[in-house]
Amino acid sequence: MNCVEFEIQLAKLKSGANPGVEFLEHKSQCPKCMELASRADELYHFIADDAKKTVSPFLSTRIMAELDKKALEVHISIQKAWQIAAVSLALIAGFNLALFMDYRQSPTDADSVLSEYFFAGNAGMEIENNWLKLSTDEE
Amino acid sequence: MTENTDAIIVEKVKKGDKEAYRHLVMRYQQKLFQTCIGFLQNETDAEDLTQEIFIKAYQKIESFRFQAAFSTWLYRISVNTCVNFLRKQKVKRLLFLDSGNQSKESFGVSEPADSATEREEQRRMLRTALKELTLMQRKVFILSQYRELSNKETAEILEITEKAVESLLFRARVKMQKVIKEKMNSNIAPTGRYQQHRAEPYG
Ligand SMILES: [Zn+2]
Repeated sequence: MNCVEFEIQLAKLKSGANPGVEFLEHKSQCPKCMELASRADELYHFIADDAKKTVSPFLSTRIMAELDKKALEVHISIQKAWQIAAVSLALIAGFNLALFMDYRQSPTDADSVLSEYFFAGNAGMEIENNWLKLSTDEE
Repeated sequence: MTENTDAIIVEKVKKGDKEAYRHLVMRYQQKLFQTCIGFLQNETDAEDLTQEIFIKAYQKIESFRFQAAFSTWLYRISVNTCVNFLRKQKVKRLLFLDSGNQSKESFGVSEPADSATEREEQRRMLRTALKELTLMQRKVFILSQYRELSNKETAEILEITEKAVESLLFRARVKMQKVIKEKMNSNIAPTGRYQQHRAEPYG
């Protein structure tokens, strides 16, 4: 086995697996490959140690509390949405009702005079003129 | 067995039993945490991200259709969340918002100075090596080395073939060895085993 073959075999080697006689022979004879194998082993041990780190015992409590918080936020935003919807509906209903009532209500004399004044040319002007004349005469 | 009980619990959660979700959290928090450590190489971030993953999974649980095991689905969310987190970190660093110096993170409780230095050196080398990997190689390497998942399980999570997992893992390990060899060639200092190198950001 040469160094390249050794490296390939090393990369394929599963932890705890038997590497074979040739591999072990080369390793014992080649200082470079021996060091490489040793350092790779160290690195994989480091990873294994790293993976043994335990999560904080409070994490599950933190997660559940966060879920409760989020649920509350959703509940509040739903409540707010309902409130907004209710107010909007009330406003729309009120507006429509006002229009409806306005439509149903018969016009008063004052309204008639006003609409006559605005929409019927110079209707009503006569009254105004008479009044103006009267007030002038009085002076 | 676990898959069956998972399914029962998931059904309960779907019906609104939030407290049932605690069982799933307790069952998988350590596994997800290990996966996150592998990706992030930082204990504090790993814990925060584990929390984020569980919250995300809870919010998405309605979309879980039992087409795969719950654990597979959860691992998929974890891998994607970790990758997205690293991407965001990378963007932050590019925008000079973050120095990216992660060498003094909260790994390890007070260790003797020599041991701590050696671990720091190992961490640095591991980060450098992980950076050398393609995204897919990194995913396979972490699931396999940090979670010790079988090729079959890893293949299911990443939705690739077992043969592809085998090949990706082999290439990842070759790259790891390449980084070790580079260190061997360049870092032998006259006074010690390694020269001190500036920590490189990982991601
Ligand atoms: Zn050799």
